[in-house]
Amino acid sequence: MLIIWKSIFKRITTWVLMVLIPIVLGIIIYPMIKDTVSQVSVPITVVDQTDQAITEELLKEIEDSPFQVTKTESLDLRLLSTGEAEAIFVFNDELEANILSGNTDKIVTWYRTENSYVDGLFKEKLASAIMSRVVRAEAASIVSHYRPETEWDEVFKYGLKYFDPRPIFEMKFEHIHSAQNTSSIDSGNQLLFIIMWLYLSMLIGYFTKILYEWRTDGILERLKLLQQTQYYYWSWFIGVLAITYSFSFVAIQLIEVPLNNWAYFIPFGTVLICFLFFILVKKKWSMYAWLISYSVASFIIFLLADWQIIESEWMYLFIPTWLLG
Amino acid sequence: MLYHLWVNEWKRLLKSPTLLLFTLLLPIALFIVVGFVVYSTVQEELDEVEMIIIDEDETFETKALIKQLAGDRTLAEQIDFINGGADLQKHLRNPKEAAAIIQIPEGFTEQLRSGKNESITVFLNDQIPFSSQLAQLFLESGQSYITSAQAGVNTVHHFYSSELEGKERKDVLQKNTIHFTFLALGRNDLFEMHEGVASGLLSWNDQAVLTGILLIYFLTYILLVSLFQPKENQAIQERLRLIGVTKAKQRLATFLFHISFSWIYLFVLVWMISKQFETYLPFSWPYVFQWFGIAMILAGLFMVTDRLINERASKWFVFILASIALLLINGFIIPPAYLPEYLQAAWLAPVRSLYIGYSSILTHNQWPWVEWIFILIGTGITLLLNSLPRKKVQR
Repeated sequence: MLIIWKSIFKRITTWVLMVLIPIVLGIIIYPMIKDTVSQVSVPITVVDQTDQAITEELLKEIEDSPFQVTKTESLDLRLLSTGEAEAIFVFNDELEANILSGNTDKIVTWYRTENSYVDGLFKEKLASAIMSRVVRAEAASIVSHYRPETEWDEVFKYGLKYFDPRPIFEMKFEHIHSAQNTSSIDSGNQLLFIIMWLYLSMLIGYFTKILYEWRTDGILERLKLLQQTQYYYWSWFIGVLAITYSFSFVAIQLIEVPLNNWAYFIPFGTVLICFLFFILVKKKWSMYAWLISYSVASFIIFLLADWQIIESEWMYLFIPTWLLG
Repeated sequence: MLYHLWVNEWKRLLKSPTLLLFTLLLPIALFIVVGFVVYSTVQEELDEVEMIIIDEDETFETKALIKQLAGDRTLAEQIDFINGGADLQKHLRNPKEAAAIIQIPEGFTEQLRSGKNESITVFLNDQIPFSSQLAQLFLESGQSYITSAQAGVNTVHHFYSSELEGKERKDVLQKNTIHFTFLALGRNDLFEMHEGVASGLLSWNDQAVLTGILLIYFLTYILLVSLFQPKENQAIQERLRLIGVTKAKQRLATFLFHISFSWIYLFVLVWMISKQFETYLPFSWPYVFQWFGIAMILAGLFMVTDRLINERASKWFVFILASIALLLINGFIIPPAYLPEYLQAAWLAPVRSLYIGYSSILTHNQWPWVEWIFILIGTGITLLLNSLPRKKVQR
């Protein structure tokens, strides 16, 4: 038995799959992807021809993410046709004076294309920042009208207390029918989990392939004569199980997915299903085809179940969904 | 000789019809099933988003608020506000089709008027995820406008209307509530919008079709390459070497086989999609040629990895990683305008030819000659790398 495991560990592929690829993925690729994703942004251009102080104030108030705002002093519509800007917002030359005097109609010109996707979100944020000034100015004008003795500036500043430090009106969002407490888990971790499982199933697939090689090389035949086949199957099963569990243990430490009792059976179930494929499917490539189909289907079912698009008993036929069970 | 090797690759493929059928059908079947499930769920949910309002306060302000929310021009058609009476528990137990239940607590208006932050509780129904997310987005956007409106009302109340008495006070308060609510919700009047046609971005529709075809094709290609790997047989290699068939020639034949398979596959796929969904994808030859270019680059990439790395797992790992990186830099995974700046660097422009070609074809109606030249140069480089003797490559 030891000889066979020795021969498995002598192969470079075993080490590449078990050590090299996970290390490269974990140390180089994953941080790189995280970094790239965090830098994904929507390019927006703001044009202020007279370089007003209020422009800076407004842009400061609008959260940067997910926008990358470039401020320029002249309008260049070519930025839209080259795709360098999702939308261009041109501020009125006397923006602040207009806001304070209540002449707020069309104080910002908004250039976009029919293919601009999320510039509306920026428009909403900008509108909200401008509107917090418009209402305060309006309130100050109304008060000055009825109480001329009141200082306009005082009223204008007083209104700020309803925005800072917390806005006066807030909504508290709660969830009903949130199935299996999953809504509190960061969905990024769920995606990471299923990608890791996909890798794990391919790793087990590789070990299953070795069983086929034993079969073609006649090793199993010979063992049958010695009536030791079962013994070797067990050795394969326990060995692969040990590798799978140690692999999963390290992976779980890294991605911090909350586990339920069923989750501990996921590696076992995956090894078992690969072994069943080996028993039922004669050709190595057909086994691969089955394994790929099952893994990809599980990947999709898991994501659909995680997004709560599907929720029925049959989805537990796909092993990764046990995490949600 | 190359021709015979190429024919041999095709023969090998046709020898396993079940595996071939699996390769061809699995990606499409997956795409159709997932697409159908997601589409039907989204469609069904977003037909009409219902929101139940439990108004326990029942003041003029809360009624005006509900009226204003329901009248918002951006979402009014999709969102249906239902007066839920006073029994919150009943709706929480059985929310039915409601995406969200909004509870306005008793004393809400009074607290708000006195400047206190009394929050409205929104219960989102997770059983209909898309609608409840839309409801949350809608209500979150409403928060800042209601704060603005209420800030205006409260400021005027503090300096002026609080000093009034009886009916006059009530009338002024109501008038101001309406005035500031309209003012805050009329935020679209701040903007003058110009929408142009010329765009460097692909439309949602084009981007979705592109990503869809790419997903199906890439998965098919990976299955083809992995399930139909040539057997490493010492004796056969020995014989091939005797008749002058080098490893480089074998790889070249495989490369040609991959390209010919991909071209047929992509042509049929694009043709079928454009037949079925002409409004989404009208058939055009430059569009098909651009796909042919992608197929050449991917096949070339595989040939080079095969040339440089012997060990199978590493070869696959590097090939998949390199392909995904290439597709990412191009903008197939995230539209190019949103990518981090270092990925948008000018010197990467030739690498981005795979995607830029589509924006020339689809948005500017031009044949992307420059991009095609870059694709040909890219293919040339892969061919060159394939034929270099091993030592030279390693050095």
